[in-house]
Amino acid sequence: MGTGPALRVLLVEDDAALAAFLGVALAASAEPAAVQAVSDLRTGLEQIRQTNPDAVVLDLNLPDSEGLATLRAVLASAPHLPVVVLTGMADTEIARQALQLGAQDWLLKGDLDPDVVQRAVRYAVDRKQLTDRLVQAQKLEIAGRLANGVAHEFNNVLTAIAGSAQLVEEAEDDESRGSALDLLRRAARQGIALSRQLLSLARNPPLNAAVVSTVALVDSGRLLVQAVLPSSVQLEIGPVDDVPVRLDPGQFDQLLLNLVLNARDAMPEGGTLRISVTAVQPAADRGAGVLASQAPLCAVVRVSDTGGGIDPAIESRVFEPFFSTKGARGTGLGLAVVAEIVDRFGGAIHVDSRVGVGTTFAVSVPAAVEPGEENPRA
Amino acid sequence: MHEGSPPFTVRPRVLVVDDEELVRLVIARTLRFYGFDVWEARDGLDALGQLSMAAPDLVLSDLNMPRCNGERLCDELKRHPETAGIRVVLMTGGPLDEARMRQLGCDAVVYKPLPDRLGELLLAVLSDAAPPSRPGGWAVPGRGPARQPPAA
Repeated sequence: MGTGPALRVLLVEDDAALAAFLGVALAASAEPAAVQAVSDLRTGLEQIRQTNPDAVVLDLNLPDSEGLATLRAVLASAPHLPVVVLTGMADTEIARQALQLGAQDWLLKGDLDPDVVQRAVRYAVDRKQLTDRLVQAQKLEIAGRLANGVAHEFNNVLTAIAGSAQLVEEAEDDESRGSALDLLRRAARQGIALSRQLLSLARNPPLNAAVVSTVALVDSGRLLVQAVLPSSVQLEIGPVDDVPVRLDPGQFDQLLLNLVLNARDAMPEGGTLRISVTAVQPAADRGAGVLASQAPLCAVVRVSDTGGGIDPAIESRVFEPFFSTKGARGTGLGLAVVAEIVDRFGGAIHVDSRVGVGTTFAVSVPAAVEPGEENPRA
Repeated sequence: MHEGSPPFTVRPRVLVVDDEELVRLVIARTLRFYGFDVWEARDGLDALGQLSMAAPDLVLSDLNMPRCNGERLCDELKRHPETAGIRVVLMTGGPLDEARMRQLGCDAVVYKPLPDRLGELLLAVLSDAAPPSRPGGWAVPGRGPARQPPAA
């Protein structure tokens, strides 16, 4: 018998026979789960809100939602909920994509065995708890490094403030007092700039989200980018696939600019900077019907440079606040801000770098979902 | 001794190393006010370059800098007999493994924001018994041709 309280599992399955089989499989286990079954997404989401289950077994194809949109809707309303997805025999590609979106596991409808079902749900819960704890630990570690970085920066500013205040005190004539005051003002301004940067990292400005095409975004970003590039850096734009994305264009500009500044600084001797956008199509979203399968899953925006590349030893730290290889020239906040913005967009960022060849930052942003697509029969 | 030196004054020579320009300026000016002969370097590499031309009595260096940090700078100085006598004081705004810094031969550590009596602290480090880096100890010529290599 189970040691802890029984797992509470929500089953979202419109096929009554399959639901009954799964219910029995989960309830008849050595550690029986308390199973609740519903037959459509809307009721499922309601139940998740009200009863906060330990895990969900989710059929992707329901009367009111089909394909990966079903999973997206569940994860959007409960990001920490372990989800095991049910797919048809032929849908291994969808299963793979479901895992990428954040499902813990998948079960093939035609190949169900009570043991396998129990194990999948149990492991999904355990794995989700472990990864959440890991993420928490990583957050704490980053918070520690952040505190260290903030203290460091402020101690520098305070050194300058306290030191120049002392110089003002000890000044023997107006001229030296004046120049000491000037140092004091500069130090204060540095402190102000630092706290502003910290705030831009900390606050969640309201997203002025709109559905925009990637072509328009890159077009409007081009001027901004050109303004910061020296003539030794050649700007190449393209190919740019047209993908509608929902995001705050102002924040996209900030993201693009930070990546471009980073690329520029990586090429002090000049080089080529390329910006491109690729649409990523779902491989075989069969369950989602013809229209949905033509809509791209996401847009990948790439910013590449031909600079010196990133030392593999520090690659995993480049998005950390206050991590910088630029010394006093860099605040160590540029890529941290980029990572924060990408997170707000619900996207992901990857870095691919080869020492001596160059670096590519790839930002994937989910494609905008047409209104009603998530819930076509609603 | 240097030819044509003016009368001797006690004017210890300090090289201030920090990549933060403002911090470096303020420290340099403060130390000048206290009568030190001060010059500046913007990181460890810059400092090593300057040291090959003129030896100070003391290097006051930040710990975290690009290219060559304070730890490496200290190590370089203490490993070579001709610079081992230069006192090294490291400064940092963060946590620091003091035992490790002592192992490297660092003479003192100061934390940012720096103490008000930084000048006195450096004088204390300089007057602490240790083999002088050159004849005459840290008493050096005043405004004379000070920036010359130390006598062998």
